[in-house]
Amino acid sequence: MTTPVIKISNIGKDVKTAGIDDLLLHSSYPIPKYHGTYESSVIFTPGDSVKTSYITHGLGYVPMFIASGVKDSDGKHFIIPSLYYDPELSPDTYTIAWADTQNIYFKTVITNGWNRWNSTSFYSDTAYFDLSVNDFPDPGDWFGVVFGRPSGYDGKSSAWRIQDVLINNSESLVSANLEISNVFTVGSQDTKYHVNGIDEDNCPSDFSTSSTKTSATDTRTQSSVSGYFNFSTDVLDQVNEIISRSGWNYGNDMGFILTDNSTTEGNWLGANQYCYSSLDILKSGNLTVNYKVVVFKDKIA
Amino acid sequence: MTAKIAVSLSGKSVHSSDIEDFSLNSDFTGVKIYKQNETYDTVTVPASSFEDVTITHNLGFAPITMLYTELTPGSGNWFFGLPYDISQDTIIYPDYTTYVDNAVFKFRISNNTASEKIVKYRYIIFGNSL
Repeated sequence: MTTPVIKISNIGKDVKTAGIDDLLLHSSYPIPKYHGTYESSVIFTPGDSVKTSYITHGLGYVPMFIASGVKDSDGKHFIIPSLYYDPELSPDTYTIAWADTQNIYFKTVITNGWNRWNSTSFYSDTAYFDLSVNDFPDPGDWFGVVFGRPSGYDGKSSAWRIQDVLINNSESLVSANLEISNVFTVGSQDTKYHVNGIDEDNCPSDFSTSSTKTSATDTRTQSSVSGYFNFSTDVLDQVNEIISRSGWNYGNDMGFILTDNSTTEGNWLGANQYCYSSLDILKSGNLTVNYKVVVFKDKIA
Repeated sequence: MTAKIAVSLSGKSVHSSDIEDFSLNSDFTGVKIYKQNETYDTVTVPASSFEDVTITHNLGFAPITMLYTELTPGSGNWFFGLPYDISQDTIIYPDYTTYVDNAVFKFRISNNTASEKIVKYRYIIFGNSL
């Protein structure tokens, strides 16, 4: 005996000849059964890179589900899992969702951190040293004095240019740090320095330690450190002064000067030939990502 | 007059004009599960390598497809779609190696670890075209 079948075709389609794509219902093919729709959200503050959230479905098994999200910065909806849902943020920005027997989980990753911008430049194009020499620490090694007073010299300074700075004019910032990698200290005492910005709309390629300085300045010390390390100094006031210039434009180059502040002779901060400079910025403003998931009663596992 | 069938949700009028008031309405195409593995299947993925899984449907059109995988075997966490999360033992890269066409649904599971992984997966192929 033939097993009875119930079929309902779509409008305008013959139920006897319609293919599966033209059927509203066919008793041989189950229709997903709706369980519920749930919402959740996360808030990224500047610098946050990973946020997770979850809802409880309570079905006692892993159900079929479809998840989506929307970020409040532009209201764009995206299907989860998403890839690079905002290419401007980072190539490693995505959202995923997964389920266990009780919950549906969401995770959004903004690898570089929300509202975080940084740019890295290698010294050959972007550093000016009052003093750079060979033969330290071993014969044939190159170094430049970032700031301080090497033995037999007066105080030495350096200047650094960061290219293509993606900050709008007068944009609100949370923090700004100038970082120089692969540096080392010489001497056992603190090395003393001032840090200023280069007071230009667009830092020129012939920048130096003699370039015009911003009014914004900070006086700090660098303690003696063993081995190579990455130097970092707060330059928020200096950056704010530069980006508030009427001629500052998004994408311009920005410069900084690190000036020796009467360091005791024999104490200084040096950078080797592999150093690079970077400007690490956190911009103001949070990001809310709202998730929505439709859960079906159909069992996955 | 064109015949129509409609089943409203509890408490809703069958004459409603709001699609969300219906569990079934022949004015709107519903999704139907054409093929699925009702309990999971597994694929063995060698260490630091990948395996391709091919599921034949032969629908003659590229259908709506769902995939759930337990990317870290034994975790109880089932990921939907092609999740990009390299913290899991395995990953399904959302590139040309994963696709659905008129005849097959194909995906590739890559093993990020130094040991073989047996990965569970559930697929659902709908009788609805993309």
